[in-house]
Amino acid sequence: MKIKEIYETMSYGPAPESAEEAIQFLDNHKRKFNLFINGKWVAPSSKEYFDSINPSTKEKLAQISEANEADVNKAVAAAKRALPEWANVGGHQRARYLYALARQIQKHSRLFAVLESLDNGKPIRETRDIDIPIVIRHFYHHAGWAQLRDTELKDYKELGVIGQIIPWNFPLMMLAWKIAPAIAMGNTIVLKPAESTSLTALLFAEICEQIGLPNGVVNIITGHGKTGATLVEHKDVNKIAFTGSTEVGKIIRRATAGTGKKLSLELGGKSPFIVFEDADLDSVVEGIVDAIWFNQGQVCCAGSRLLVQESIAEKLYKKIRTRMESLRIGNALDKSIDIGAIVDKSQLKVITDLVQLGVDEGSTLCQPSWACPKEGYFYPPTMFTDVSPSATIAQEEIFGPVLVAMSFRTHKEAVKLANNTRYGLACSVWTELRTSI
Amino acid sequence: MEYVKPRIEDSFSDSPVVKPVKKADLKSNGMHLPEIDRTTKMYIGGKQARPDGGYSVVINDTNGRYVGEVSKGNRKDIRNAVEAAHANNKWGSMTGHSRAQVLYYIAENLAIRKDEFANRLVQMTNQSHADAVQEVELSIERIYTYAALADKYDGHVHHTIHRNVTLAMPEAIGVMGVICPDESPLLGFISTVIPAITMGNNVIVIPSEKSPFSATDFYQILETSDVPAGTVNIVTGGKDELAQVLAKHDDVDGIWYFGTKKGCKDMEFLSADNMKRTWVNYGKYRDWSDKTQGEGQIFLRHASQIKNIWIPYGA
Repeated sequence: MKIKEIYETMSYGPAPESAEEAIQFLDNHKRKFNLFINGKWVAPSSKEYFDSINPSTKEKLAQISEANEADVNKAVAAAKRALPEWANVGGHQRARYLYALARQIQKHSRLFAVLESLDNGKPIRETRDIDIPIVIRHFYHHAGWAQLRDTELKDYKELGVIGQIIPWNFPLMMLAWKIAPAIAMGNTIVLKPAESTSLTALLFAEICEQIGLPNGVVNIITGHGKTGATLVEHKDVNKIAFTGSTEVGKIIRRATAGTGKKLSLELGGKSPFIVFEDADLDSVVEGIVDAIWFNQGQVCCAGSRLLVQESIAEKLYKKIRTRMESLRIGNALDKSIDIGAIVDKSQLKVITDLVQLGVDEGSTLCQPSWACPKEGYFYPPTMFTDVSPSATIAQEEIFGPVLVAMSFRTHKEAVKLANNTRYGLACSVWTELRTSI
Repeated sequence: MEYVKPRIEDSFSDSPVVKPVKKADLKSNGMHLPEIDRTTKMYIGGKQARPDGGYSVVINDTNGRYVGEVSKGNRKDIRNAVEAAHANNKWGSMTGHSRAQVLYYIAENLAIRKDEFANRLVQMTNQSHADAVQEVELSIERIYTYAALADKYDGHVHHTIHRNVTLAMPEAIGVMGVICPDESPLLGFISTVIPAITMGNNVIVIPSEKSPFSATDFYQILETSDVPAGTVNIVTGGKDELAQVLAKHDDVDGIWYFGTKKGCKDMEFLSADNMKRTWVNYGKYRDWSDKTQGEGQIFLRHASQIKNIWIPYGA
């Protein structure tokens, strides 16, 4: 391409981030990962492994262990053994360990970022500038809580062994949200990452080894839903912390009913994004990009329902269409893309099916004119207009880059539409007038 | 808070904590004029309501002697109570200060009728009169505690990101089911219902099944203390049967249960469908007369949820 042409089109080429060190990490483990139990890498009792796939290319990255009941028992036993000493070591000691974890992740932040992008398909810009920095902040923040627990929370004590089950949309960030507060308060943990995104959790296990975290405080076991279910049912687990689908959340609630296990569930959402006629529409459009196309829409609190005041609806839709056209989609390691790959084949199918259902139910589909790359699991940014409030796509969480738009006339109607959902996770309001809020 | 538990939980008992019972005094009842009948109804939407089913339950004291009858509530009564609770949007929209005023008024009206409530406790539980008076006194004090907290249990402002503040505001859960402990019929009722309404919830209460009269006598106090209709709804009858209806009800947002292990399991299991918030005692019993166990901000925490409001400022 000639420079003159670039001036004409203002286009730019790919800017790939090197995957070299991440590949080195995988090769060091011979592309086969065992379980991290009691500070050691142990082969799964099941002797079974499954593949972790790079969704940008569909290439196999590594083999991951399938933990079975025996492995879960081993991990929980290790956490239980480690508990008394870890609880008694005192807040300051725990603060030092958490601080060391934060520092060690920070030192290897790019490795984490690249590995996360490879494994999950999310853009490197996001992992590098958002996910991993937030992870580090979390460990620092909870190093602080560890330090303060003995004075600020002296009427409280640790719960014991915590089982933690996390999703694939923010693999390392979810790990940090779960592990940092738990171990800061003197609990020990067994964590199961999502089957499609185990790699950064396994790299984190290596970090725990490096800083000399006492054995058994953090145990990482990989596997599918059955592994998680076994962990939920284990009698020595004192709490389950789960982030994922509402459906599985309900199953966990029923499975633990009456056992006295504490429960934290972070489930789905279908969050409204309300735009009043006085809002600055260009800011709104960028807000929408962040709300529904950030992380390919695979965000529990994604602003997936656009509620726009009727007087400006067409004008806003037009601006959104123009913006969609200029979004770039591609390999997660390309620094100049906006949208990466969908995490895996099955999620891509969920999105494709729900979009088809939206079309069948009579909503108007809008997608950019360009086509997605063929080599990976990609889905284009999508908007539906003329959606009725009772349509399936207006009620069900899609967990993909699909925006569902409808209009309202009065504030009252906006609030009614916003609350017309079984979820209630998040909401954003766009206006220049405080009185609208 | 999600990864710790209160140390006090370790001192809860495995069986209900009750005051010593006096033996029945077997004086024969001579012939005398029959007393005027007092029919105990239920309390729904600020009105006394007869039970849908048209049945009553006989209530005996701890020595097995007849005390009276209460209405036998059923599924329909619970559903009516839930509707009444939803129809009341007054209570939740009042300020903490205004709610405190109503709570103080409740305490004031209970204090006027201290002897009556103490005698009722003696009649149902056969505890000593002195213990009963103390239970009423503690109840009044407990109402004061939550009235005091009503405008002080407050949110936080977090400095999150550049040019943003985040307001973390505790809000009412909405409509809650409160299944009271069987023991301490008055203090157990006060210790659970008052914190729940302090945060602005509207509640459907199932009072002590064995000794429900402290709760049914309480209607008159609610009626004379400016408590909006539908804030406190009381359905008497079979505790676990009614509790299950509440747990299954899709329009109930939260449920507290103080009772048996089995009951706790049912509550958690049945609440999964509409994802109610639950708070149960797992068969561990508090000593309601002990302040460290029977009251505190933890009750308010379970009666509220935090809404985080992110507010951008500046240009």
